[in-house]
Amino acid sequence: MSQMTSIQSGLPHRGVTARHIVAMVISALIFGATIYISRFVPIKLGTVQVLYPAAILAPLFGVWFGVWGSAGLVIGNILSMVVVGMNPAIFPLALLAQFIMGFVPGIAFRKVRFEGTRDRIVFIATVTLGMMVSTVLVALNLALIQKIPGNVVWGTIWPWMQVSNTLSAAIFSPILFAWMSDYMNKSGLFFKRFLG
Amino acid sequence: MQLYYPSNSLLHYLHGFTKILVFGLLFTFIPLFMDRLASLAGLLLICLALFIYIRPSRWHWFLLIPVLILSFTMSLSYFLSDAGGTLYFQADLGYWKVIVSSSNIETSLKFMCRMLIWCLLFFLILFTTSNEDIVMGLKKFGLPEFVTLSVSLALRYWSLMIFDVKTVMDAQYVRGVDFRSGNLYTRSVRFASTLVPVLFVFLKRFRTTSFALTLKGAGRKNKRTYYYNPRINGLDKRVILNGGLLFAAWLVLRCFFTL
Amino acid sequence: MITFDNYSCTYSSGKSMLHQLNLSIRPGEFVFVTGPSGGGKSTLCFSINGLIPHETEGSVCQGSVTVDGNRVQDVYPSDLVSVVGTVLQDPEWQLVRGTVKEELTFALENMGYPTDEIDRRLEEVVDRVEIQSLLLRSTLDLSGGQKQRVAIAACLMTKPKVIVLDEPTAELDPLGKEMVLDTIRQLHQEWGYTIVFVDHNLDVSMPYVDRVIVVSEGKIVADAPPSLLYDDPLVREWLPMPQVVELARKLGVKLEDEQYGERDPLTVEELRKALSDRGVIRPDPPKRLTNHKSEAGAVPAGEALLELKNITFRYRKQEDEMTIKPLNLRIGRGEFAAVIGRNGAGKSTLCKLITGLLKPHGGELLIDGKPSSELQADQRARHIGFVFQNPDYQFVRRTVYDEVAYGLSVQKLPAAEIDARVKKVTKLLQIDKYLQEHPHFLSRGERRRVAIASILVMQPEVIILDEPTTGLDSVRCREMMDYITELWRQGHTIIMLTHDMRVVADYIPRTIVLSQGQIVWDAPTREVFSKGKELKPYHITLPPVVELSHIWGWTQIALTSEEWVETLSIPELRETVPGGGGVV
Repeated sequence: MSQMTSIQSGLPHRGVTARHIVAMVISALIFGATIYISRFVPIKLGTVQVLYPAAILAPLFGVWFGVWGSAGLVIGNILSMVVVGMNPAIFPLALLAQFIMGFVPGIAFRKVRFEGTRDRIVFIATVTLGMMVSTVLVALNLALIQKIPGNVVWGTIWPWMQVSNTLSAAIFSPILFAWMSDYMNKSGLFFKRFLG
Repeated sequence: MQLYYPSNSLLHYLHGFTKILVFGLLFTFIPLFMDRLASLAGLLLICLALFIYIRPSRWHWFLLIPVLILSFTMSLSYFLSDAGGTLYFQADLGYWKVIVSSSNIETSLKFMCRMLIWCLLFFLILFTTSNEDIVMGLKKFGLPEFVTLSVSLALRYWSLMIFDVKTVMDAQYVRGVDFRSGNLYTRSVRFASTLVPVLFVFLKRFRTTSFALTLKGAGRKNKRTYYYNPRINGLDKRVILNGGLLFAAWLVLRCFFTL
Repeated sequence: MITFDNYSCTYSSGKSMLHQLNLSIRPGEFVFVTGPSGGGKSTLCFSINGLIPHETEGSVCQGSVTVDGNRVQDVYPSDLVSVVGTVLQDPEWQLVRGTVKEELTFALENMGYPTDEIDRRLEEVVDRVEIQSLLLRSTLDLSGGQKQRVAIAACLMTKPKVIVLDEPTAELDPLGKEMVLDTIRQLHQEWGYTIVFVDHNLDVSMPYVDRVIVVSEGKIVADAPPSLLYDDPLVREWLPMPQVVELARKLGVKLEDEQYGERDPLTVEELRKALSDRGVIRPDPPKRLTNHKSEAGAVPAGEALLELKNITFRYRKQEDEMTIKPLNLRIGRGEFAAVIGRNGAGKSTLCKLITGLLKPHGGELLIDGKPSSELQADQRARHIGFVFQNPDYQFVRRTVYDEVAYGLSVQKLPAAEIDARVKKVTKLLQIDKYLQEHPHFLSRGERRRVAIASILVMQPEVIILDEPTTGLDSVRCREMMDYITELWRQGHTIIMLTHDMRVVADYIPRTIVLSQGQIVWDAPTREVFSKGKELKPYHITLPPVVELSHIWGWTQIALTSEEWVETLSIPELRETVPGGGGVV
């Protein structure tokens, strides 16, 4: 009884599936662990770390897994806080900032690899924009909730974050993205649409 | 990740929702409405008493060490601004000025107290609540199922991931990559090199976990059953009521006094 | 129960995984699916539970797969859970909940079953799979075997008609394997489930399955009862025989069978009986045996390269007991030694102590006569190389060339020397054609070879290999061991941690048995395997030739099929067995 000779792919995804959940979890774990490890570098400005290598990873998860990767960044940051006893409830704007780090490049750049110089420029621009917005949010969290003096926040911490977050992400995120692109392309893990 | 340990303190019997609401939110906001160092120190002592009451093990006490280091290093940034008061020391570093004055010390101490209070309150939740109960507590706040499931998965896989990261570092060590020697730059580069295998290993896990979830019916459209679904009991209600009253009372008192 | 009708499956890369498959599996059948890695076994499994095409990005299919009347391509896999239960290979990452109880109830919760029904099924399944004692334990604290048993129990909760197991024992130690296989046998024999079991290890499973399907290059190349499988000359080409079948066929011994007429014996007992029927009841032991592959280097003749003197070690969590009790070991230059013993015996800890990943609490470790504490990581790496079981942990570069060269670049060697060494080593391990490939996209065996090459290139005096054959099919396993033996012949000192006793018997001259952090035996392999029943408490399952040697009371045991056949190719047998001594 030979039947159905036509080629058939999978049924359309409905709602939130396991792939979306796992994208969140994987992003959360890698991002959270990177923050957790760098938390032990004992140089702080307010509650901000002087070195924040996780910022390099954040845009990648936004680009690879769209909104789900961006949401994973928030969970990852919460996890890294939880293990050192920091209460996420007092960092609402900083948590939103983590989401923005993935969200902006994620929504603006939906390719699994660089196909030319223009792609690189767009990628770096969106990463930079996302980082700048997110650093503003972190600074606001410091000023409004941690009550760190305004001149310290805007005169020292925020400018430093442009180096530790924005500049390092603008330089290293594209390198890591290009590095991983073969794997992401062949493995089929890349989410073609921002919403998955 | 498992910070929870079973015991018979009152806090161990409370619902996850109650603890998150009272210790994670209401009591967490009170220090934001405290302006005097004495009030913060008083609250810190109360938190410490509660911490002792839940009888943490020696290992759990050790977790306070990174908290102390973190809060101390964080508080140093207050010495970069002039908060007034008696000046004890001043150093001009060009763009920055390091100022040690009575007000700076007080502000810094207040910050440390706040951080310690927040950490202790949070540890009260984490040490007395199993992962399952934390997730059920979050669920009661109305978080969607996929979020709570993600949180519980992340909690479960955290220690596996730390193990994997360690194995990656070991695998590099046996190839001559020493993380314990070299200058800061060399060490940073070596640490960064572990990121690549960590990423690969985790992305490879993606398929297994995603398949496992699908094959256990995650993402189905039907209404879900909660097999483990503890109820909010009388004790929880009393704790929530008293916590709410305390919070409200503090806000009211603060309108009339400097606390 | 399961029907593949002209079913083909292709990935978006254009790689065809299954071609026009036609297959029918009856209710209650126990089907064993095997074949070379990458041949399409997992694709077949995932086509039954619907992960292909619904959850595997870029997969497309033609034709149909029907399971219990459900056309898989038309149903979401999450809606098929009450029809097909699946156990995956990775015991760690397929369990998604914190405790065993949560894991068991998870699927039914997702399906919206009422709690009293969940309770009823929980009681029944826990009882069946005998995991009462595990119910409240964290899934992180279980052994590999226990984890897979929990995964099987979780499948049973949904009362599926079919259970698909995709290499569930690939990452387990012998005890774990036994535990899982026992449960699978029970599922079939006592409760009548239809089982599709994918695995490489024919030796253990063959006696229990109804049917063996060999899948290679996306096609079914054989489909037969296990005892008739090797009648097909094509299968003999594709699939190395389990040792019992190999021995029987080399001697031309068959069993009389009502159903099939004549068939291959599948167990040691059956082989003994078949031989006994031919009058070989208790043959004389071999007069003198030399294992052609290994025994030449059995004696630690060279100077000591590694010397452990009263080494002790304890993990922080274990306050009472030492993980490594005072231990003395000497490994000479040019030796090839196996370290065996059950999980938790201290094998990995011992290797970590040697490689410097752990520091001993007491005693002295000498590497080439120097105390190990005087060596930095890079100096130590020049003496000792350690190849991890999972090569993915060590790959940091994007091409095989860069990966193999990485350790040398850390040592800051000149580019020309790096190039020469990389090319030499990759040629030796036959991975030189993949130099520009991404290491993560190679097959498991090739990835292992890249991992070995990346250590070998540093020209360490000792190479320690952690389970280098785990998860490889029989052909790849032999290839891997041939590579390792070649390295040994070229003068490298090799220490291998393994659970595969056939590999030990066939290739490795010296065996060290570890238990509870102590060396129980350290002797030539033949001498260790001569202990017979004394090895049982250490969960060491001897290969069939050794087992038969013991059954016949040989003092001088045979280690390999060749030795055994040579001994039995005696005139009496040739006279009693028509066409005896026929070689396959």
